[in-house]
Amino acid sequence: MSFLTLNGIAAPALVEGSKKTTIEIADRGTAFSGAPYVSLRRRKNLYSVRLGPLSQSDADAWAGLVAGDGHHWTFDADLYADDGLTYSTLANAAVSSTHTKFGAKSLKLTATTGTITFPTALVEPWTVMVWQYKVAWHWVVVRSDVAGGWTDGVYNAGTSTSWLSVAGSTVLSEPIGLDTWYDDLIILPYLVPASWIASLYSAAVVWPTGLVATGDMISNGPRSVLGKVNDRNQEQLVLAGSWADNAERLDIDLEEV
Amino acid sequence: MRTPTVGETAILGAATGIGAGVTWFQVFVKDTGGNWINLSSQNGILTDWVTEVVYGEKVDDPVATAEFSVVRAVRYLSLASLMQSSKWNRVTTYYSPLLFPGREVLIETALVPRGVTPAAGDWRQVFDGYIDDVEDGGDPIKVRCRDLGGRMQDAWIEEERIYGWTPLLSSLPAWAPSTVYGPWAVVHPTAGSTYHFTATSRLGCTSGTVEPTWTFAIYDSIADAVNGWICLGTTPTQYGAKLWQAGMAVAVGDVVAFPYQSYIDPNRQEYFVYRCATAGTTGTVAPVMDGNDWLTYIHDGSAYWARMNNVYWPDCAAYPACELEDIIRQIWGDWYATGNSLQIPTPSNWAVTPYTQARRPVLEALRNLAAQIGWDFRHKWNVALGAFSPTLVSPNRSKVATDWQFYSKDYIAVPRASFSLTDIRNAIDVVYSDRSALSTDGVNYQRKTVTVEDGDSIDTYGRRWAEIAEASNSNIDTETEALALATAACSDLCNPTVEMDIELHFHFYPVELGDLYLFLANGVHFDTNQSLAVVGYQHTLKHGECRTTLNVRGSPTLGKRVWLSRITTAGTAKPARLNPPAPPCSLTITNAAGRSRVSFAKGRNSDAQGALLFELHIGANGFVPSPASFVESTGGNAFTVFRAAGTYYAKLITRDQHGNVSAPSAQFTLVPT
Repeated sequence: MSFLTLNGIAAPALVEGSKKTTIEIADRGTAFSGAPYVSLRRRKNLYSVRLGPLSQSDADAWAGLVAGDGHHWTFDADLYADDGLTYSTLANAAVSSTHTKFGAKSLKLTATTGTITFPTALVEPWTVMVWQYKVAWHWVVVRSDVAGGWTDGVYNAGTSTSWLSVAGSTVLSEPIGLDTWYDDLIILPYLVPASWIASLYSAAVVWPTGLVATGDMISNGPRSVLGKVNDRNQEQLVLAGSWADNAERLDIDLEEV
Repeated sequence: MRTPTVGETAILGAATGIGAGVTWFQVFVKDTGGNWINLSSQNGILTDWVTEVVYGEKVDDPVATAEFSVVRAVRYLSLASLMQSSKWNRVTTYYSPLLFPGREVLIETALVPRGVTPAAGDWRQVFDGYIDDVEDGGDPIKVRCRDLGGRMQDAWIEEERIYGWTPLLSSLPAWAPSTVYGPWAVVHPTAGSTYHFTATSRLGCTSGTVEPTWTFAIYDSIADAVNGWICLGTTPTQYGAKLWQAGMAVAVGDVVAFPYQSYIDPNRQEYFVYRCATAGTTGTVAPVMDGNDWLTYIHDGSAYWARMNNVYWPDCAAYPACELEDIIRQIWGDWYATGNSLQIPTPSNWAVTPYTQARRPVLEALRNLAAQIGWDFRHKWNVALGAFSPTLVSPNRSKVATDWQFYSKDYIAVPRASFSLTDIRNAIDVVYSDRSALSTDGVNYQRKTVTVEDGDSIDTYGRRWAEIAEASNSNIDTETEALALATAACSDLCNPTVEMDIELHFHFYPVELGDLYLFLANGVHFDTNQSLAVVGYQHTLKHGECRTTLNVRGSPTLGKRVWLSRITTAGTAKPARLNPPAPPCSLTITNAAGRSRVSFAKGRNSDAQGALLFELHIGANGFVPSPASFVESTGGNAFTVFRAAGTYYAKLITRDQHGNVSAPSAQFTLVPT
């Protein structure tokens, strides 16, 4: 097991500069008699971790992941994302339990006419990851910087993206005449590195609500944590065999929720 | 005090050191779809939205209050009421803000050992109420609530009605064999019918050895050994009797009071009470009543009335008295009757005579009734129901056994320990209208005063007087009732007692108003143990810091403000010199050839008016005295009028030295021969 894994992705964490602090949710004081008292509701861990060195684009992705940027729809009950974002318009689109990849339901777009718009206010760069069912489930990833996309973890410039339109809002539609189901839709305002895509596909698990940390560093993991990016330290060094004058080391905090 | 479990008792007893437990809390809000939303436990990117809860109550306030704070928004999830797109504010597909005035709120706490997450059975409901205000402006959002009594504060008695003319019919006795029943007695059969039956006449009746065969036919006469019974039908839908009006739409079950002049005492105002049997509209004139033996069944316009009872019936001693709790049940049933059922743990044994209930908020009316005997009416936790219920509470003013004891290790500070002379009152006058003494105007009752004093308190602090003036339509309308009120007020106000705030360093959820706690000597504020009663408390719950502040005082009371708020300020009672005198009374008329003589006595309570002058007026039948009808005046006690033979209509009036004029006496005729 790696030292630290966030949402199933092994983090390039350094032991040097990382530490674990205990936080108490407690009331401590002195009673009128002089006797000390304590009411301890919970003790939890705060992990301070240093990631890197990373290229600038990888650092952007890690910072976005740790901060919880983006939206995630499970479509298990309704059309609300984990963070409360919902559609602005739709036609012939609804949650359905006919085909599901994860959970109780998925999003169904009726052949040809089905469409749904999410007001995501996306600007480049961005990544859309979703499980798609026409005749079978496939995991499709589309990034703003390349043509086509990844199907089941493999990049193909010819991958069809006609079902997706991003211009501020994100629009899913069904142009080819087959009822389509979508599950576990993730829209991220950064580029997901290709290495993540392969590992996420091989893990084939639902994207968690919030951030989940596991690994050797984490006690009794996996644990839900709240992430915070503190410093992005600049470095100049040889990274993956080539000179990088804008490499970064990230100092992040992960607090158990 | 609510009874903690064995586990909770151990935790509360330890309180300090490593034995101390932990309080968890959660807040529920009911959405318009009827679902309880737990703001403290959500699936999503934020699980607990509640940051702080403050709740408590004071003996001086009629309802408990709570205020809680919640995170306003996380990303697109917002609790701000006007965020229409937020998932919080949508019920299925429509916009319906979750945090909005009128939504029901439940607060629960759990007291568990440290390191333990509360199980379902650990949660205790500590507040149930409705949202009054939502303060969306800042972050966190602040939400203020009143307990269930808030709804009773907002509900009004919308119409003046007569109460106290009967106890609850369901509480009346069942028919019993070989029993002598008084006039208008009402019974319900032991079997055979669920309706109520009244004695056929004011002569009452006597039951036989075998129960008659009852029916379900209203107005059916059922014979018994002597006289018999008439079927009244079911319980009325309301107990407040409204005064009869012409052209009034009435529904089945409505109760109406017909005023009529008593056949025994023309100066008495009496009422017959009827229940509507057939809906319709009343006629243009009131049905004619026979005061001697009133009708069982009346046709009135398109409506029909069935007899219930009469009010102020002088022979009616046999009729069961209407207890205080009967009136409370009746008013509650007529004007509120929602939510949890009324709780009357202790019978008041306090009979209330008929009175006209003024228009005011339901809770205020019920609290005033309870305060008549120094009791309280508020929402209280009911163990059997597992809910907060409106309860008639009897403060145990002589309580000795303490409910709990606190050591100096249990509290952080005593922020306040004070004595004050300000609120002491040791001589209380209660001014009331005496229902048994009609005023000389023939309409209102005489105003009388009772006084209750506490000699010890007067010796120590000097005489500190106060007056409570009851309105003319108050239900305090006998000397007994006025004395009880004055005694309760004097008892609560005659002594200054230490008033302390004590801040515990833990959440003491079982506390209730009226609890008596023993505080062991701390050597700083008191060097002997103190037994003090809870008159208020406030719980402040934050994550990791849950504390209770107790407001304690000498002994359980109804609170000071409830009395002080009733005390009359100078000038609200009319000075005696502005009251009109009574008209002359006890007239004796002697007619003779060419003259008539009228002798009279001065009216009741006229001595306070100073010198009196009496005027004789003569005019047409039914005239109103005026300068034109004035004949002569005298300071004596008789007039002699010289007139030709015939019939003359006359009235007397009294004029006092301040210029006040009485109402005219009843018209009488002079018939010189």
